[in-house]
Amino acid sequence: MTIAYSMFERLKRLVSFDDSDVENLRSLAPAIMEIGPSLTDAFYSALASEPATAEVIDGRLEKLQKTHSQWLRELIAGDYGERYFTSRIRIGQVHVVHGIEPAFVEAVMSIIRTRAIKLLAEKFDGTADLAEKAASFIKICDLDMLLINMAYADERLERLSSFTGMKRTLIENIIRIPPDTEPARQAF
Amino acid sequence: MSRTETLQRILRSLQTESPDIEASALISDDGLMIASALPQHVEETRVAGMSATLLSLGNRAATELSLKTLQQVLIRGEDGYAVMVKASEGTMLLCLTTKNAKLGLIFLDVGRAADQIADVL
Repeated sequence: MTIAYSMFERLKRLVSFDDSDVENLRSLAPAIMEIGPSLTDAFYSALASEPATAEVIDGRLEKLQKTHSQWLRELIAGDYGERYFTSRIRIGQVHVVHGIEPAFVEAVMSIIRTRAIKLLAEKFDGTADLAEKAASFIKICDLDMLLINMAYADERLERLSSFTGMKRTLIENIIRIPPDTEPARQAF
Repeated sequence: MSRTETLQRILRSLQTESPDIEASALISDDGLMIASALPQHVEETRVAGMSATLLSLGNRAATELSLKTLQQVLIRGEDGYAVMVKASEGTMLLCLTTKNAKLGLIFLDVGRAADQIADVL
């Protein structure tokens, strides 16, 4: 893995994820755990409705639901350090193994975000700081998505590098070369 | 004489002593140009990236096919050959030849130039 934990720290600073967000997420824990099964069900129903992801979950639903519950618990546990970072990177890597494209992960993460906010709004009806708590929840979901996407891209490059023998720096350098339709040999 | 000048001199000598070698370049395995004796209109960045990619794949293929250590990558086109060999650790030498080049002599000269480059680096 070439993604350093310091990158997670930078991303947290960039989205202004601070102690108040940690506190908000901790305070949401009981409510999120209550609505958790509903979120997990909605998540896997959406995955089952898309052929590309349905085959990935086929026959593994019970195990995956447990993993999802664990992910949700970590999301509001209040510990967003190196262990958290590693677990999210691992999710991105596993998606490469199972061939799950980032667009589908983004789509189902949208379900988590929107459904959670809706359910929390019902639960905290009239509570003044709901907007703050909801913002913290969206931030951590977004940070998760950033890490998962970065790990996904990194793992794909790593596999390409391993298979071809090309150094990662070589791959990065050739990606920076602008496309050109003219074969280089024509010059000679 | 700086190292860069010495490397340029080795490449120029290679082309002077082997008239069938039309162009040459020393490239890092990151795909970056170190020294070159290429025509001015050539896009060095692209040539360096392509050459390093080919040598990397050649190395990997040689291992996968149980051919042991890669000696060279050779491309034959209608208008000539491209010969790629490892120079020193992390670098490769690319030579482009005419279509009628005597490959035995080319391999010999390219090998000698690679040894000289390794001494410099």
